[in-house]
This record gives sequence, C-alpha cells and structure tokens, in this order.
Amino acid sequence: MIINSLIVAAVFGYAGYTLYRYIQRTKQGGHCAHCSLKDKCTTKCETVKKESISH
Amino acid sequence: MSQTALIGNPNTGKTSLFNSLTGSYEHVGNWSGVTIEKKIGKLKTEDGFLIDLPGVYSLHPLSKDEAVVIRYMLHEHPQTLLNIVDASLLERNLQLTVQLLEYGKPLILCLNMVDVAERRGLKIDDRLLSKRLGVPVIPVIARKGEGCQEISVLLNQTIQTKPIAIFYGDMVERAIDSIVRLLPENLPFSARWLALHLLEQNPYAMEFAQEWISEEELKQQIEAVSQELKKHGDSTVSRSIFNTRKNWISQIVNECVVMEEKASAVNWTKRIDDVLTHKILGVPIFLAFMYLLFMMTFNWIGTPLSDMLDRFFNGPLTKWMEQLLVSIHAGPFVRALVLNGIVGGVGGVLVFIPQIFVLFFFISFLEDSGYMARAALVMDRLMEKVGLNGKAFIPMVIGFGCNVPGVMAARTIEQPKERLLTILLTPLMSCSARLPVYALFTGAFFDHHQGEIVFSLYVLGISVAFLLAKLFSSTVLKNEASIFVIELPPYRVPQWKTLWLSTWDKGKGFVRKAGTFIFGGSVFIWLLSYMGPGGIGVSMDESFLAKIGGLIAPLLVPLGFGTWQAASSLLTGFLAKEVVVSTMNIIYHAANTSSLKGVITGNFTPLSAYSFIVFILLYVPCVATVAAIRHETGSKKWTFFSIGYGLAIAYLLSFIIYQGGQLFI
Repeated sequence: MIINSLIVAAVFGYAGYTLYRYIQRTKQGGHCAHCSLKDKCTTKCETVKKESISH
Repeated sequence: MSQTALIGNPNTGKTSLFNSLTGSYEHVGNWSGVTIEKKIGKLKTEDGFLIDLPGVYSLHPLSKDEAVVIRYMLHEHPQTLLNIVDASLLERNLQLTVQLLEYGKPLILCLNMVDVAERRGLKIDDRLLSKRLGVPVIPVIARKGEGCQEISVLLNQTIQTKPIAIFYGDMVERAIDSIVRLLPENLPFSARWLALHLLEQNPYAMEFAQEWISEEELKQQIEAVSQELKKHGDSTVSRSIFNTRKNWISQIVNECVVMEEKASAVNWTKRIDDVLTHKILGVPIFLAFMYLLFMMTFNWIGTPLSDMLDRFFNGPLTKWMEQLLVSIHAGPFVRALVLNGIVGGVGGVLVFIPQIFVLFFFISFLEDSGYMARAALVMDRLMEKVGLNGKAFIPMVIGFGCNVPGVMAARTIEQPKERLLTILLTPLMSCSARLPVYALFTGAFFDHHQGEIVFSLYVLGISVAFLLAKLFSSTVLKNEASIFVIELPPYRVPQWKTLWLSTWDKGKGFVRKAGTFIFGGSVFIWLLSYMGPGGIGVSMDESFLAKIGGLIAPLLVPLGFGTWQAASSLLTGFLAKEVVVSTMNIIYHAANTSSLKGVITGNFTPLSAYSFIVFILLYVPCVATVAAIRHETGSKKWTFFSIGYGLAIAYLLSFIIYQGGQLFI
C-alpha cells in the first residue's frame, strides 16, 4: 500500500513538475529555453531591442 | 569578472573558437547566420567570460541580429576584443578589424583558417601584420583547436594596444575633432571611434550620443563635410571614410600577403559549384539529396535500428518492468499507470530516436560540408519568385529540426515583411517531432515505401509554404523585394567530432523532451483515458478523453479519420507533435510499436492514413512554436493568423486528398 502510494505520488509529482516547467519555458518564447548555453549563461537572454513589424 | 568579446565576419569560425576557449558547445554551422544572439561562456583558463557575438561585416547594422554587436560595444564595454578573421579573405575581413582597432580596447587578432588560405596559395606574414596593426596576431585553425592555447595564454596577460588613428583627410578630421569636443571625456571607449560612427550616421551610435549631440547638430556637421567632399569628388562622408579605410587596408595586405600561383582548390570549388548551383540542375540535385536523406533515414538505416529498439522495449524492458511491479506488490492502478501510461507513452516515442538521429546526422553533414549555403543560393531563385528572400531558406532548414529556433532564426532577415512571412511559414517545415507520427503510419501502411512517402510530405510542406508565400506576399504582405547575399564557404570534409556534436545538438531536445514533457503529458493523457464522468477505471470509450475527442470527431469525418481517437490525438498534438504517438499508444493499449501498427491498420485505410499525416504536417504549430511566433512578431493578430491559416490549409488539403483519393480507389 505504502509502495503504491509512493509510486503514484512520485509519478504524478514528476509529471506535474515537467508540465509546469514546460509551460514556464514556453512563456519565455523559446529564447533561453532553446539555448544550449543556458546553464552556463550568467546574464539574462538580452535580445535586440524589438523592432515592431510594420504591417 | 573580465569580459572578452569575440567578434568577426559571418562564417569565420567564431563559434568553433568559442567552443575551444570555453569548453562549452554551441551549434557550429558551415554557413552564415548561426549565432543570432550574443552567447556567454566562461573561459577555460581565466577568470572571465567570453561573449560570442553574431557575425557582422561592419559595425553599421543592416539587420536586427547585426545590431547586437554595436549595442554591446556601446553599452557593455568589453575589456578585450578577440577579432577572428578568415585568413583566406583577409582584405574584406580587415574592414571590421579597423573599426574594432579604433574602439581603443586591447585587441587580439585570430587569423583563422590559415590552412584554407595556404591551399588557396596565400602566404600571410603574421609577424609583419602584427607590427603594422600594433596588436598580437595569432594564426589558428579553430575547427581543430590549433592556436587556441596561445590565445588562452594571451588572454591571461595584460595586452597593451594603442587605438589606431587613420587619417581621413582634413575635412573629415575637422568634423571628428568638433564632434569629439562635444562628447564627455570619460567615455569607456575612444571618443574618436564614436565620432566616426556618428559621422557614418550609425543609428545606434546616434541614439547613444543624443544627450551630448542632437540629431540636428549632427546633420549640420555631416552636411557641411558632404558639401566640401563633393567639391573634391567624394559622394558622402560614409563613402569617404570607407574608401580611406580600404586604401589603408590594401596597403597593409600588399605588404603582408604573398599570393602564390596555386589556385587548384579554388578551381575545384568552382567546378563543383558549377554543377550544384546550376540554373536548371540546382533544384533537382537538391531534391535528390533530400530524397537520399529520407531513404537512408527510413528505408536503409534508421528504421532497422528503430525496430531493434522497439523489440528491446517490447521484450526485455517490459518484462523486467512487469517483474519489478509484481515483486513490489504494485496494485492494478500502478501497473496500468506504469505499463500503459509511461512505457506506452514515453517508450512509444523513444523508439523513433534512431530515425531522428540518422536524419540529423545527414542534415549536419550537408551543412558542414558547405552544401547548405549552395542550396540556399539555388532556392533563392525559386523563393524570389514567391516573394521570399533566399535568407529565409536558413530558418526553414533549421525548422526541419525544431520550428522554435527556426522561427527565431528569421531575425537575420532585414526586410520586416519578408521576416514576418518567414516566421509565419517556417512552421510548415516538418520538424523532428512529426517524424514519429510519419514513421508509425508509413511503417503500418507503406512499409516498403516509407522513404518516398516521408519525402513527399517534406516536399508538400515546402511547396505549400512557397504557394502561401506567393499568396501572402501579393495580398496581405506586399513588400519590396530585397537582395539576397550569401557567402559560399569552401567545401570541406566534415569532421566526425563536429558532425556528432551537431547531430547531438539537434537531437538532444527530442531525448530530453521524452524524459520530461512527454512523460508528464503521457501521464496526464493516461489519466484522462482512465477516468470518465462515470468514475475511475472506466472503459476507454467512456473516458474523458473519448468524450472530448468525440466533440470534434464529426468535423473530421470528411477527412477520413472521424474517430474520437484521432481527434484526441490531434488535440494533444498541439502540446507537442510527438504526443500524438504517445496518445495513440495509450488509447489503443498498444504494448509496442508493432502492435500499435496492427491496431491502427484496423482503424485507418492507407488513404485516410495519408490524409491524417498530411493533416499532422500542416495543422497548428505546437504550443512552443506559437509562443515563439508571438514573441518574434510581437503581435497577437499574426500569432492567431499562423494558427488559423494552418488549420484551414490542413483541412483543405486533407479533404482534397481523402475525397479526391476515394474517386480513384
């Protein structure tokens, strides 16, 4: 019973965490999230000043 | 902590040098436009940071990514500049070097690709060059890491260099002096450097200096000098400055470079280019390469490896998991969760890893060999006709890996409407996440023609993108065509290490996603299939997943896949396209890919299967791509447009394929 509860808690806990992190990363618009240096990068992903696209 | 800025022309090997000096790995490509933002890495041997900046030909920016460099130099003040130049194109590269030398900070000149220069018959006297420029000059071969040790040693020392002072003629010099007098004395870089950029009307320099010198005041200065210059035959101040620098550089190059009669390498490149970039043969050759790529991925190498992995997941792994669960007395809920949810969902996606890596390996091979730059050139002729720029080809090829970096890479396109068009169309490029769906369906229905079917999907994605480009550019996004300039790097035999790193860089996201998001998604989808309005442990047809899918299923009947299972898979596919396969594994309770193939052959026909994978190719971009589009366009309107047109075109094409196909079958 305890083992069952532990497995269920671990699986759902981890699943919830991965979904939460994915949504957080998606909110960043993929900038730092898709940079392979993000773990070593010490400054925020400062991108070029956004130029509005004229339509 | 000290900051060293790595600056150079596009495609001079900056990223390779960055990797050697920092020990980290960033994607390296044998074509322009790989670094689109500044990247920061910690130096291996020194307590400081190395900043990798996008490749630029000049500090006067033409596109958004090029502006990163001048903004960085104006606002962040690096202690040292590491200027990497292509030894085989020294004269052109030195235009940027001159602007960096005028900045007034210590500079190390890395003479990269000396091996290529030598093969082209160029002999460079690096000592004399160092003497003439007044800075250390280190010959390097960044790809092999040769010469990097010397740079590391130099970075540990204090380098003293004096800013060069090229004489630009009396009139320009007078204007420089009067601008310098208006600037504060405590600027962190040479005031003369800033004055020159103001005279060249660099918009970022003008914005930086506006508190000391107004735009009006500056225009008056420039106008006065221009009038004087015109009297002496020069057209503009910028032109005069450029010409002076050009003459100064030519003099140095004449002194330091000896050209030997050894042009065989150049001839070889030219001969190959004559065929690969041929007006008529260019596109068929490109398509032939793509065809070979998919045959290798699906028919010859990738699928047999995937089948082996599937047998392992199906056999030993599932057996061990079952034994483990029995030995710890796991209940039926936990067993269903682990075996149906996790092994079914995650394992069902993981088996396609070999195919994805094989595909990326060959794409990396084409990139690193120098062919992709030629492909961009070949495609430019076609792209120009549909209102796109050849530069759009680069984001689109990156989009074959993942649409998110593809959308971001569109920043290298200067013209705003061409950039927007590229952002909107890049999601039509078939990303790696869609491959598991193709592999599953082609394996089930078109076993002996997998490569051809997947090839047709990629060609369909590109063709639809071109047709829509033509439609959008002549209606909602009318624009002026811009010129496409791309540097054709010399051909080279890719190195195994670079190939592996590049393949891993492209494919690692897929592996990581399987262990994280696909895991979470699979558990969530399994839960939706296990629970229903009637309670827990309900039959699949009574589950929440069936109820939700059932609402949309009627709309999909004309497309040939109007079942709640297909509808639910498509809905979850919006989160990430691989999840379509996970969902199907869970819904159909498939123990492995082979049994899933068996189940879906009972639920689809070959025609409805093809209609389904075409729909997967074209319908909405995944949530991460939608977020990237929102970020890059800065517009909700265009974000919704990208979702809306995708759905519309997917529905239309699947409808035509299914309904049209039925007439013949």
